[in-house]
Amino acid sequence: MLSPVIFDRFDMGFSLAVHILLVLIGMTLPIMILLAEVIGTKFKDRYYLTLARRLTLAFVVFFGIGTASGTLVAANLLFLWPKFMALVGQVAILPVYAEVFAFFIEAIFVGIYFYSGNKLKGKYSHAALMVFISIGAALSAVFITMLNAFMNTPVGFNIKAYLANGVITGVQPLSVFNTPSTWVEVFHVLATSYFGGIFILVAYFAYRLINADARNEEVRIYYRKALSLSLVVALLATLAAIGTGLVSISSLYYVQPEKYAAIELDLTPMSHAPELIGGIYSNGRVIDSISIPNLQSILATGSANGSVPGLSEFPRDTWPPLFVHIMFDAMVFLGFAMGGFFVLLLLLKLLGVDLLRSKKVMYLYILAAVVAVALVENGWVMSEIGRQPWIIYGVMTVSQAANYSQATIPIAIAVVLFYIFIFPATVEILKIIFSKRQLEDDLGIK
Amino acid sequence: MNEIYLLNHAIFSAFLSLTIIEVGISLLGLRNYKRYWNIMKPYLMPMWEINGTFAVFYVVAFEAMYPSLLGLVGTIYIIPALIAALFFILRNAFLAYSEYIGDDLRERRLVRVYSISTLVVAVLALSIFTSSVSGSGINILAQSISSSFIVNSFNILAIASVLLIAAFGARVLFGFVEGRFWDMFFAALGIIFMITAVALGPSYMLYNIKSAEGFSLFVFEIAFLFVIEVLHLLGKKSARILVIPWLFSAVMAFSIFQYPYMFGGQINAVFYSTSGAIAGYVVFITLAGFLILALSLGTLAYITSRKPVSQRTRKKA
Repeated sequence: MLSPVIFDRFDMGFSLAVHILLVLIGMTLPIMILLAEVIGTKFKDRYYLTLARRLTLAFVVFFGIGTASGTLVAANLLFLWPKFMALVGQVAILPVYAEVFAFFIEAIFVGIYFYSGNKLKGKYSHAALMVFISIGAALSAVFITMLNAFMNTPVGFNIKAYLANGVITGVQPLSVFNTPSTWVEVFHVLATSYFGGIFILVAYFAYRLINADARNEEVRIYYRKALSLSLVVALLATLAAIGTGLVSISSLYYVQPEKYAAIELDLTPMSHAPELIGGIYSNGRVIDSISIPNLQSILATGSANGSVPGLSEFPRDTWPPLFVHIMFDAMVFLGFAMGGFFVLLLLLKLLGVDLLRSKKVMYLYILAAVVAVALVENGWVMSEIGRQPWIIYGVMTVSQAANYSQATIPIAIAVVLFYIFIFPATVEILKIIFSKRQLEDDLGIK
Repeated sequence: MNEIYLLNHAIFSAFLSLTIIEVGISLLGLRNYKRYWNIMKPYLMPMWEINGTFAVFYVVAFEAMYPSLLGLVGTIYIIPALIAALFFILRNAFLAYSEYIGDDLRERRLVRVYSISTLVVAVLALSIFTSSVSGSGINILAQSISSSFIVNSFNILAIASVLLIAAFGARVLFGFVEGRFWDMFFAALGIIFMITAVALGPSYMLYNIKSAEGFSLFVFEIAFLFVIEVLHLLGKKSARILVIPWLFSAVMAFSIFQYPYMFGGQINAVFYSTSGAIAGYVVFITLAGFLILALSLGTLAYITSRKPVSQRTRKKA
């Protein structure tokens, strides 16, 4: 019979993968609404004001689903990994607890924003409410990432004593806010969340432009303005994602050497380490890889003779699955491709291609969005698998933390079926909502 | 009384009193959509997200305040809790859908799914709560649960009581005055069910109620309800203001009667509450969070109750 732990893992992984999509949208929409409302108000531009109003509608629906999905993830944490949460509760619960209040600020200000459209006096006071929502959403991500950083680099209690006798002592509750990996991870998560979220919007606006009625110039202007604003945000988010990504990889070298060795497929510690592109581990060696001499040492330490950690420094049974190396390569490749995407746009612009009118470019935007979302999901999966078999590195394995109840099996299946229903249902409902609220009506051209 | 226990139950009472109102809204929406829904909607629309957030608040507060109970609670309640979580997503989704669908027939159908989902979540959540009080259907040693955690007299009476009180609470909150004599009857019946449930429940609850302080608290809650019923009967608006505070205090009183045990007296909650360095921070974050919450909710109430700027400026002119 299959172990319930497999279903625990699957349920958690699937719920998180879906929830991440909602988080990307939920974090990015407030920023876009804020920008659109401020620009629309400042320049009395009805297109941007309409954009803010319509995005708000979508935001409220996604927020409703997102908060519920977040609740399911919180419930999954407790019920699938009760021993993990028991330890977290005694050592690292404070950021999770603080996150609730960030969530409250977001939820309450969503209500205030939505129902105060005609009740506030100042020119920008309505838009200012969106600042609170954006901060609430970002803080939620920050606090949850702090827990993830604790799982990667646990601190704040006497780990040796815990491993020896299972008793938690020497608790320093505030340490969880500042583990060795916290801030690098926090900034990378924020940057990549906005990066993934904004590309979803880029794809949506590009899709609408492809399908917009060619005779209705007003509607096309609306989508072009929406797309151009999204592209500006996307450029900034991409730069931030690449920058924080590079810092994140090099910090692994110091703070998570075993994960670093696995993603670089370094079997032994060495100086003059080459960068391996591709390659798999077979019979104690790496085969089928392209090796670039010294590059890894230079990237990690700044010097060709700098030494890097190797998997042989760690017990064989704690090595993560080594396919994380391929995932890492895919991430780097796609990350560079996303950087290249903007260079390509610049070249096309110089060649006289209209970036807001060409249908082929619209398809390029949609492709870029698929890559962007895949990158974010791939990054999370790589990070989590790179920590296996640990749920808290060096402290507790996933198997030790799991709920062994057979009930997890039907529950995992129900969760999958549920998400399969809820996502298309939400898209369908949004379609109905927007078909009833024609863009032409919102723009005042009917 | 242990301050962690008190804080945990204060959060639970705030969560449950808001949830009871939402259950009442669901019941009334199912009973007569046309008559009730449009009147209740302006309250529900900004509040449903906040109620939902309270659910997360309570779960995380429990994790922070009773970490050493999580292994037990997580293992025992995995099935009902995750089923409730799935219905919770349905509740959120269908209410969000209904708000903007802009078509009365569709809205009505969506509201029906929302209402039924809310009731399923409430029944499961209440069953979890009552079984954590009585221990019915729970085997602590084997860390297992049986269907009698739902099907037992304590739980059935408690759920019936909550449903009756929820309908009463919603009708008072929204000032539905027609048939108000029936409201009195149903509220009284709800209280009778609850008293019977407690009488059939764990003996230490009855013992706590019989103590001088417990009995005073019990009398206070009944008198408080009586005042609300009379005000409601007279059609006074003050009944609407008092109903949520009463629900909060009634749930809090229930928690005090339960003190300090769980699972029919098998577990002393105080023994399992968080301690050491982290406990102080948990209390601090809870209080700071309550302050943030109060300020934000105050802002929400203030802004939503204001008239539109156009009307205000016309008045001044």
